[in-house]
Amino acid sequence: MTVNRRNILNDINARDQFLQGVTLLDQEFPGVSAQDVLNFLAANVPHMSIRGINQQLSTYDLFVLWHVVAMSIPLQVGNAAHNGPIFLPWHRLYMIRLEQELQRVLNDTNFGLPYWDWAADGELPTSQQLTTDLWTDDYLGEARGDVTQGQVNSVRVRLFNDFQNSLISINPRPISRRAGIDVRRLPNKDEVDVAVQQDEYDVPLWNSNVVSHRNILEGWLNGPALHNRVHVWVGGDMSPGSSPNDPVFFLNHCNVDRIWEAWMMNNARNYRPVVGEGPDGHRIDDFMVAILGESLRPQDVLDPTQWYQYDELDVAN
Amino acid sequence: MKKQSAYLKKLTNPFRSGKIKLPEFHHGHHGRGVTSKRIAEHRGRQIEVHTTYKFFVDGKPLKMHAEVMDDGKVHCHTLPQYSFTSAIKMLKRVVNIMSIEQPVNELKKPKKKSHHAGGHHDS
Repeated sequence: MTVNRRNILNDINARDQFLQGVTLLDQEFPGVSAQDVLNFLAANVPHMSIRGINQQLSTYDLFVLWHVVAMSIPLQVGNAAHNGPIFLPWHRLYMIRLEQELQRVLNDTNFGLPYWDWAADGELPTSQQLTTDLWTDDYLGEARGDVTQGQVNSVRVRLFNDFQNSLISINPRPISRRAGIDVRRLPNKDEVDVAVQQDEYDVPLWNSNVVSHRNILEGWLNGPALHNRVHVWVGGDMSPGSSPNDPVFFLNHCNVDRIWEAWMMNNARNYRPVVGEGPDGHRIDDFMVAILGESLRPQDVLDPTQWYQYDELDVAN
Repeated sequence: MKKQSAYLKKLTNPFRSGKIKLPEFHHGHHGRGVTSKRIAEHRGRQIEVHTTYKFFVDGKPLKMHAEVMDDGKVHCHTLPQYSFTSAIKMLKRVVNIMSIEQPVNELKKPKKKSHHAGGHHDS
């Protein structure tokens, strides 16, 4: 079934369902403890570890864990989720799986993840970017400090990324933000336009230095830009590898995916590296790191219309 | 309810079975980040710059993946969206963000030593 992904600021129903669904996933405990995670890491990713309190983890926490695990697996170029061509397909797979879990807890197979068109907010004067509806109690709550008001005030952070690319199981606490402090402004439409105008999805050396759609959209050139800049602008729990702790992570990545989709529509759904070129773990036929649900390859997700479509693909000027 | 519970059991099975399928190349290389290698071509010659970092906080070594980008900025996987004009600035930020939460450790390392095919330690 193809669901519609809509702008969270234009669709109150999508907003309420998303925030309710996140809260439900954060309150659902499927029987996995921090100790189970330590055993799991020892068996699968032995250079990673977890320490801290032994507690039951929610389904939402396991998505946080999945992100940290993927970014903690170094490849020849970047890691299994960032700093290379795999960045966009891996996050597409990841969000498809979250969308499916939200559909389950909401009991609504028509639910589609909403996106935050941050480049539209980036057109506002800097001082107004902190005070849009998104940062009110009806939406995500406070832009700075602990999120203790609004629809996600009960969401708790239980896993946190530590110094050495591992995890700490912490006493549950609210989400924390420090928006507009590390960088003052959000990306704007002109910057999105540069990403959309690129002819190549990615090019050798496939890393954080190349000029390509993927690398500009990820935000390394003149960085932090675009995707990276949104993480840095929100700050707080959006900074470390455990950034999915803040539901704004998914609104950001849904918009990043929308920009990729706009590029794909104009570029014959091209992807590189194809079979036999480029670094391991980034090729079109490499299986991506998956913990919750079946793994897929980039070639399986290049056309997402079996899962979802966007209401609007006019992403730049 | 029963259906949900069976679904969740299946979804989280990797945490009970102990294994997920990771392609072989996803294992190992975890010491790689200590040395960063930059490669470029100039006038038909290949240039390589290898940069090795040793990080310490309070005298204790820090195992942290870091790399230098072509523009000289430093990046670490711990802060996946950030790049810094110096490694000192990067470590200051890591300390700021990460040093807040240090609960008592209640978790016990598994006794059985795991073997993972294809993995290797290169540090």
